[in-house]
Amino acid sequence: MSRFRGLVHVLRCLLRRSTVESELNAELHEHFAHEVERQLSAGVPATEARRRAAARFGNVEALKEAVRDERGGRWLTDLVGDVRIGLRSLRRSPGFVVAVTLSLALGVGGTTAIFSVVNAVLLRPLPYREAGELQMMRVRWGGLAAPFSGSLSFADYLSLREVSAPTAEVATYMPFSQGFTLTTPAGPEVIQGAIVSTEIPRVLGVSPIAGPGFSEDPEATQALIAESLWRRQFGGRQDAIGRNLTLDGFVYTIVGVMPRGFDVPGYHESEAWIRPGRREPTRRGPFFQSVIARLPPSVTPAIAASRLTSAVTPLLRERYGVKAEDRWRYSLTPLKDVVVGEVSRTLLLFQGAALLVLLIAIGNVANLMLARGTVRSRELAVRASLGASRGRLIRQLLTESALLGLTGGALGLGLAFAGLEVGRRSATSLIPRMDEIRLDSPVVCVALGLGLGAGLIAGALPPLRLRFVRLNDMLRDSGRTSSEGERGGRTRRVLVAAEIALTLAVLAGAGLLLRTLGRLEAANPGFEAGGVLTFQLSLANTRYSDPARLPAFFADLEQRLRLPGVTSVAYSTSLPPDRLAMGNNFTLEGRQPGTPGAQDVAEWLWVSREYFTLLRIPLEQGRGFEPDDRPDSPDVAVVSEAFARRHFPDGQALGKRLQGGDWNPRGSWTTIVGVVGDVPYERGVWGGAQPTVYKAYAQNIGAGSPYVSLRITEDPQLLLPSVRRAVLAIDPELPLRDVATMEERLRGSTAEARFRGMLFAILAGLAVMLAATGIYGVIATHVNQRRRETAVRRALGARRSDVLRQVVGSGLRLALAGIVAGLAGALAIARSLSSVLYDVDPRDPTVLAAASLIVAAVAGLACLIPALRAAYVDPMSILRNE
Amino acid sequence: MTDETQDLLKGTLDMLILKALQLEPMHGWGIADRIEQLSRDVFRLQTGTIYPALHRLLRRGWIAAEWRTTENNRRARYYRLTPAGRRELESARVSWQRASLAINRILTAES
Repeated sequence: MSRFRGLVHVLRCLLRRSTVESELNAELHEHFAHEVERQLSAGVPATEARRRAAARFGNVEALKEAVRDERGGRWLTDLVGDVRIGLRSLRRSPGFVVAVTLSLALGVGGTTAIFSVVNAVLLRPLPYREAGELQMMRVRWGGLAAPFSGSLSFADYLSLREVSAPTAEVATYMPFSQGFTLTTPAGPEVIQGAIVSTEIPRVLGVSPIAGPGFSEDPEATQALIAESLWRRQFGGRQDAIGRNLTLDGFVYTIVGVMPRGFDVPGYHESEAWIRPGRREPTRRGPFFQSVIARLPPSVTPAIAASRLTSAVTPLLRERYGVKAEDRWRYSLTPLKDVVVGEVSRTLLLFQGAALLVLLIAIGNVANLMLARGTVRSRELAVRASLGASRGRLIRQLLTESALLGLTGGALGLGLAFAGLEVGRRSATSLIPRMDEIRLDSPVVCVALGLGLGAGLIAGALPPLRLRFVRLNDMLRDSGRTSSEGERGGRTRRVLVAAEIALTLAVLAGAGLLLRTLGRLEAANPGFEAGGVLTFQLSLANTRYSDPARLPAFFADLEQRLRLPGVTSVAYSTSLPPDRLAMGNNFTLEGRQPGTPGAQDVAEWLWVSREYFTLLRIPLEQGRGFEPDDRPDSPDVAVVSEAFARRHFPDGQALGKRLQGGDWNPRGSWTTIVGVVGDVPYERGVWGGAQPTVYKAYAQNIGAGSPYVSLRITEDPQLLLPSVRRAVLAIDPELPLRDVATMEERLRGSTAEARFRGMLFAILAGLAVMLAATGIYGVIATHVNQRRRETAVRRALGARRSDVLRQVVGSGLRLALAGIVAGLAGALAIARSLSSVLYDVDPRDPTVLAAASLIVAAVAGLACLIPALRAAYVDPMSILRNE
Repeated sequence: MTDETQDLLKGTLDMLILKALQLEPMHGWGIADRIEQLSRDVFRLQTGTIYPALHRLLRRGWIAAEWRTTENNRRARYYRLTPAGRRELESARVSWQRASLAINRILTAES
């Protein structure tokens, strides 16, 4: 009760300030009247009575202050007062406010934009229940020439399912990267999707929003669909459950609708998750299954891996003939690390660079505040001599800084989100989880916190100086304009030099990344990309399941695609620079199991006869594929130079034989008949070319999803409609997928490098702008303070060019100091960038020199305006004014 | 708002004000006058000092204030003890007596 009564009192004092104040006045007045009366009644004369009463009473104003102190909530009224004074004084200098808030907004905006990505991608857990318990399983091979790790096979999953409890709960999925063809009343539509196991919703901890989900019956072919597909195809009606979905010609029963935003790890555009009827595998491979394990908190990944390995081994031996010499084991990696992958390094680099830009902004703002502090020293000195305590003045200055900082932070938040909208469109395919970015409370807190922190850090300098400068010195000084106090000038110059150093470091980083991009684009990919149009066909449909009919299909297709403007046609299962369909393990003749390095892996393609000539991949030795390489003739292969170099260092690859897949003593051999130049298939020019084995499409004809390449002499945009018509004429339900010219594919494979380069370039641009305004500010103030001196020198005969040279020279000296310090920083940044550089030395002298030149040039330009102002000033008018 | 930090004098003044209000509500001047009388003029206050103390006590909810008309027909702000104030006075009185007894014992002890 007493607490409540007290609170009411405090609130009343806060909210009804004027009433409370007038009450206090009335009360004190009344008291004083009483006192006077008592003196009068004791016989004291009137004037003397008043004097004595006053003496007994004490200092009225001090008393009122003491009462206000006791009243409670004093800090709040002070704060309100400070804010009010701050706003008033800021309103008087709009230029200063704009400069400070813009600097902060740019610095905070960049940092916040990148933080929101870091937050969504790295910090926030994956959108699954208890996502920290989820691990991705990989199988590691010890028996190969080089250690190799890959996904699991369906046989692994089936065996794990039986023995994984209680160590873990497992589920598997296989994304279907080329998409499914969905049959709709309106014609075929390509949708993204994945093949999943029954346990996927349970293990990921996401339930359908409608429908019962997968049944336990392993024979039923069922599908879960995305909310988007549900609305688009079924109008969001409940009766969609139980209806049929036809994908690639196979029919699935819809058993559930998954909530918006759900997908299997690493993907975000799937609209169907299908569970085909189970087929028992006959051997362990192929290794295409992503297997997720949910571990109870008591089990560590290492323990789980060894337990699962030993539990599964007998099953694999018994059912799939896996032998002891294969020397394999499982390993577990946190699912999030797998999904986020290498992006974390890139993102942290960006975050670092953005923080450097923020530091530059802080330097800038500190500089502006120092300059303003100098101008305001007179006001502060007057207020101090009128009784404001030093603490009160410092609090006042910091309140202003905090106001500016918060405004800058809020503006920065706006900038960040404007920038992210742009970035989201260009980077969705490059950065996983980009779609999860949103303005949540951590991001808002970081933006406002950074703004406030930056404002306070920058604003801490003037009050610190206030401590050292004697107030009456300040009063005496500020009458004249000459002596700002050398200390302040030096602080500001150091700040600007630091800004230049940081700018140089960011600029050098941007230079290295852009040079990397240039090198990547100029690099020889090993084939000729110009004039090649490519697309993919999905022959997964039932009507292609009979391999005997496929040769006729391909012959027909080739016939129809020989349109005017098309000079050659080729098929292949993979395409450079980054459309690798599969790798395979193999055994070389004479290096059968039992000998060291028995098996190795290589990129494994089936290509048609014209593939090498169409892409102009040079033939180095032997021959390419020929019409005589038919299904009934001996199996032949062409290998890449990298393959030949690795396995036949003596250069004698021709005529050697190899066997793909698991070693089979009775298997047939494939003879190497040619060696061709290296071409990258997996990760573009960046990833480099790996050992590759090409087999003849004609000898391995099968369904699947072949790529078709056309060498054309026409504009691809003009040719494309007739290509589409040609394909639809054969099969009206066969859509063209992944259509692109080779040049577009090459550009796409460097998109990540381009994104990195552009982002760093933007940050560097911000840094340069901020540093330029910083230099300008310091030099302009410097020129202003020396106006009189300059005027005297001019009057005594100094030429304009002397003045100009002196001002620009002082700016360049600053820049030089910054550059020298910045080179060290640039080298440090370059070292941390080295993993994302391609064919560029981190200490590349050209980049460092160019960055230094740019910084020096910007510094020179920034000085030029104040320098010209100084040079063209009329000495007489200034001297007269003084 | 802890009380431990109050120095002795402030604490003492608060206690004296509460004591002065024990009998009846009074205005500020009256309280100052009463304290002087009760102390037989040993305490000569700068009378103003009671106002910050009164506001402190208001904030703690130990006293309440209201405007009333005085005996000579002027408006004055009267303060009265709240139940919490009465409890506080009692506990302050007990602990003060215990402390002053102890101090007396120390000062009069024969060494």
